[in-house]
Amino acid sequence: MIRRLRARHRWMVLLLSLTTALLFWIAIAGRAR
Amino acid sequence: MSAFYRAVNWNRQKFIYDGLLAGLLLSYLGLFVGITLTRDPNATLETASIRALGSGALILLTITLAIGPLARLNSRFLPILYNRRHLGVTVCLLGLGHATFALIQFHSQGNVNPFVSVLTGSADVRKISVFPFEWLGLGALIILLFMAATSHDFWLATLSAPVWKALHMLVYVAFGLLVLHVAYGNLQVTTNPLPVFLLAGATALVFGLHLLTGWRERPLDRTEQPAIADGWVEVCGVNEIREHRARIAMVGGERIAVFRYDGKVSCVSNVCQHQNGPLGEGKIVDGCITCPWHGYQYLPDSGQSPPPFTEKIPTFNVRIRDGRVLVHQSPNPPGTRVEPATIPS
Repeated sequence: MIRRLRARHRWMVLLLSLTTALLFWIAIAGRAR
Repeated sequence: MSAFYRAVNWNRQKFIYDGLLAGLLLSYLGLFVGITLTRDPNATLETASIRALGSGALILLTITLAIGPLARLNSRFLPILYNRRHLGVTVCLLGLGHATFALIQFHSQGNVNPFVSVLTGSADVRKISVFPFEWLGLGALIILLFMAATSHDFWLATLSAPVWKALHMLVYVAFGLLVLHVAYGNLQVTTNPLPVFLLAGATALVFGLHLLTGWRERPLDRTEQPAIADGWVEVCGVNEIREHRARIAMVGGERIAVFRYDGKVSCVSNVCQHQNGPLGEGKIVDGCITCPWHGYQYLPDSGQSPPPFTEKIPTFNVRIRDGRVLVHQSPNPPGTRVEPATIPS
């Protein structure tokens, strides 16, 4: 059970980091110049 | 570890830790306000304080979240992990201060209720430069407040460790929201590239460290030790385990920790009952297996916490044959005493 939990956490962190990185890039790329 | 609840179990280490934290934090806030007022002629004491509190909260949250994976990579970071909860509550207080002052400074001068103003305002979700970044900060603050309110061990015991841990994993969502709060807020009005690089660096540090440690552990979870006979699994050689330390292995689908101590070997689950900490990365102190995360203790032969504590973890039957440690892959019920295997002299 703990093994599955660890695997799930790994994928959740990966998904969250990719989402944050994408939205961060959109924010910076879309800055008014 | 304590037999009863107190707001904070103060000891010398916690006094030093919190004293150092308060000193560094006040120095940072003072320096930030001083430098901002000196270098930016348009800045007022109020706006400088709001920025100091907000940036302080984000820096402290970055450090707090980096401690966990750093402690997995190098045991020298473990002492900082010990009192991490106080860092988390401090982040929440800084965020609350930032939000309160921002509400007063930017939303209390008009005819509209400040709370209505902050949630509606003149923002437009369709335009990046005027995106309602306050919503993101508010979302993060709600999560941090909820976590700070339930941070005490009373709530850990009441909610149960799995539920508490799952709820507190929301801190990563809060971190992501705070990064975007700054990216869609302050970074939209500044032309200075330094804050952009600092924020990107902090984000890469937190998520990068977690992904690195998570993926480093993947092979261990995938290398199941095969049973050799009647459910017995060969784990390692006795001499591969250091005295008062453990060897972690994958047996029966879960991680186990084989401890060597005083000429004997015992085997328990690798998962601490408190917060799923890795017991096998700890050591035996005063005859007890001691979790490296928060110091929860268990007797190696029975998996029971010493009285008056009641925590129990599963044990495993263990034997030594030709200098190799064999473990039975079926766990015994938590707290079951198992005769330790004696190491032949």
